Amino acid sequence: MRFEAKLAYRHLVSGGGQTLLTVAAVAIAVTVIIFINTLITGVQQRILKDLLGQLAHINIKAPNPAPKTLSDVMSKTEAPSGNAPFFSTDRQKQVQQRNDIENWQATEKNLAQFPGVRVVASAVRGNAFLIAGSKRLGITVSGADPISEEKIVGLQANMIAGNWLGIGPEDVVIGWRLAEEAGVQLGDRVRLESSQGVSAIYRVAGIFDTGNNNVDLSQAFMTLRSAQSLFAMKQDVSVIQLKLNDPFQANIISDQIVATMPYKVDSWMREQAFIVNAFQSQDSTRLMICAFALLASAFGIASVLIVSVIQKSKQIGILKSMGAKDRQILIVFTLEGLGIALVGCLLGCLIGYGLLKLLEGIPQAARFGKVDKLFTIIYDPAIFGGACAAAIIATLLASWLPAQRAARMNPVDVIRGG
Amino acid sequence: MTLTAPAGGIPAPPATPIVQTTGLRKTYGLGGPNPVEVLHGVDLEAYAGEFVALIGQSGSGKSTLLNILGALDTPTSGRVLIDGVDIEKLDSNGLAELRGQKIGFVFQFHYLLDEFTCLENALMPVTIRKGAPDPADTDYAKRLLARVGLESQLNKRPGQMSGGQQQRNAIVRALVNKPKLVLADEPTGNLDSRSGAEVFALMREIAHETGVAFIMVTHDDRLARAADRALRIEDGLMHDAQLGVG
Ligand SMILES: Nc1ncnc2c1ncn2[C@@H]1O[C@H](COP(=O)(O)OP(=O)(O)OP(=O)(O)O)[C@@H](O)[C@H]1O
Ligand SMILES: [Mg+2]
Repeated sequence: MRFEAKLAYRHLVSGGGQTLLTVAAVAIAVTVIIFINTLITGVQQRILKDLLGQLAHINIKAPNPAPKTLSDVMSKTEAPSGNAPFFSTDRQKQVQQRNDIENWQATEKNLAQFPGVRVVASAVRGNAFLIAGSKRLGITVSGADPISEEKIVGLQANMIAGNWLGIGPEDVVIGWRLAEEAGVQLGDRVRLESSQGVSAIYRVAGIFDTGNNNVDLSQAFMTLRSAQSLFAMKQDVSVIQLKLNDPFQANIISDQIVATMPYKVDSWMREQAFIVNAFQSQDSTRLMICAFALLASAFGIASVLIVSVIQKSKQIGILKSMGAKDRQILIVFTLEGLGIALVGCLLGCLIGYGLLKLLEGIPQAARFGKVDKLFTIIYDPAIFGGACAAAIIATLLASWLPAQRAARMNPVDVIRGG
Repeated sequence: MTLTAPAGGIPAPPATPIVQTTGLRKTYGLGGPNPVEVLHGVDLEAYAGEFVALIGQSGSGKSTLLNILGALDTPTSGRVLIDGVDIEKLDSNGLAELRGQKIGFVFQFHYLLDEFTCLENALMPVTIRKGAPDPADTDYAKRLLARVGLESQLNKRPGQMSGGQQQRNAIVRALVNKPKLVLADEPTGNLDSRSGAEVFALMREIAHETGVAFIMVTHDDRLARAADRALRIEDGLMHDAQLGVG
């Protein structure tokens, strides 16, 4: 082995430009793979965080009663249509048809037993109007124990004014866009009027900025007790929310739950199918880019090595005349491939790391004094390792043919050549 | 270094030859449209410590014979025994081992490895066989290099040496594994007559000193005359060469 390693090393060192070319091919492939994967993973994680940060992975509701006709629903709706721009008949239907989960404490315990379930939190959710001065804004109100609801929505980190954890029964927490729209500030009082016709005054105890326009414009949070009375629900809840260890298990786990409970179970992956589809097409794009990078680098390396083997055919012949076995020659050229791969991987990792560091430094336009990074960069050892493993395998495959060719070379033919 | 040559100058042939061929035939293009038989049944013996010159017209089959003797090529029929081993019975690994242990080659071109120094090139056969040379090997290589006047060139690359020096380096490489048989195909063919004569003289002396059987192909009748024995290939057969004196 020492002979083979020594010869391979000398070949690479004296190869100069050829060696640099092949090392660069591996390095570029590794850089591309690291860069693309980290970037797309970062983007996806960011989307997931922004989207799922405020969303439960699975929502469990009581099943809808028999559907009612639109006119039936319309006749029972007292909402003045002029001020409610986003009122859909679907939403009205949900509002009108009360389907509460009774005995939810027992159901929560059951759900917590499912493998993969990380958090279980029950909430009352309903539609209401926020009335401030002359403004009448349609919003969704969630009422839950702040401590457990926090594990679903993660609001505390997004508070830009006031407080969320530890709010009292008179308090409501709203998004900054809603506050702006309604012209209210921290500490101001607002009236909420539920679709059940209950109305009460609350103090704006906190304002949040989740970065999700929809949430910031139309969501309000309060305690479970307050919401139960706002929506006239006694002790019941309207939804049990789950967070999973792996959000992408949502369909599987929701199917398991459906099989055991008489409830309507919604997975975020079905409700936000477009995101999941977008992720899938991103994943296939990145796979293609990585495959092409590897393929291009492998072909480059194979052709350079073939040329180098042909250039060295005399040397190979003379080595064989001195007793070198076919296997030894095979090892020499395979080791060259391995050497190229290892140096290329090291270089690729360094360049990839450097590029990501540069990218990470780009700040996002600041809002409310929070300076965020434009790109979410996670230095995932699995991505770096995977890129190197793929590049090493591709390079070894690329050097296989040249090495075979070298090993099979007939010494008489090459020595005769003169 | 000791000389094995007795007082007479020509060593008495030992009982068994280092290399022996019987009825050696070689046909090129066998199975093709026009096969050519180059060797028509060559019988040859060479003994330890013997320096044999092989002459013949261009295209008479000298290189063909040498490649077969060196286990680089196989005969179409006939037998080749190298140090008592029938090469027909060896697979490609066995042939490689035989070449590494018992045979040294010197070609018309030095074929030194550009990536290695003079000393490393000289030690290449040992490196191939053992992985790395041990101190005794290095010592032996240095002594041989000193013997051919390369003691001051140990760390030079082939490109930094003269043609004669390169060829002397190649001769040391052929000897470093202490082979039984050294085959040289026109080793001086690429050198001017002065350094050619020097290289030839060295080879002959070292052959006698080390006791190897040395077979050298040459076109130069004067060199052939200085060998212990000269053979001529003609019409695919082996003859004792009749070389006029002078
Ligand atoms: N691989 C081959 N295929 C077909 N014919 C070959 C092959 N190698 C050699 N020959 C032929 O065999 C004959 C002997 O060739 P060889 O090289 O042994 O001659 P030589 O005596 O060494 O000649 P020279 O003095 O020119 O080196 C030549 O006619 C040559 O054309
Ligand atoms: Mg020849």
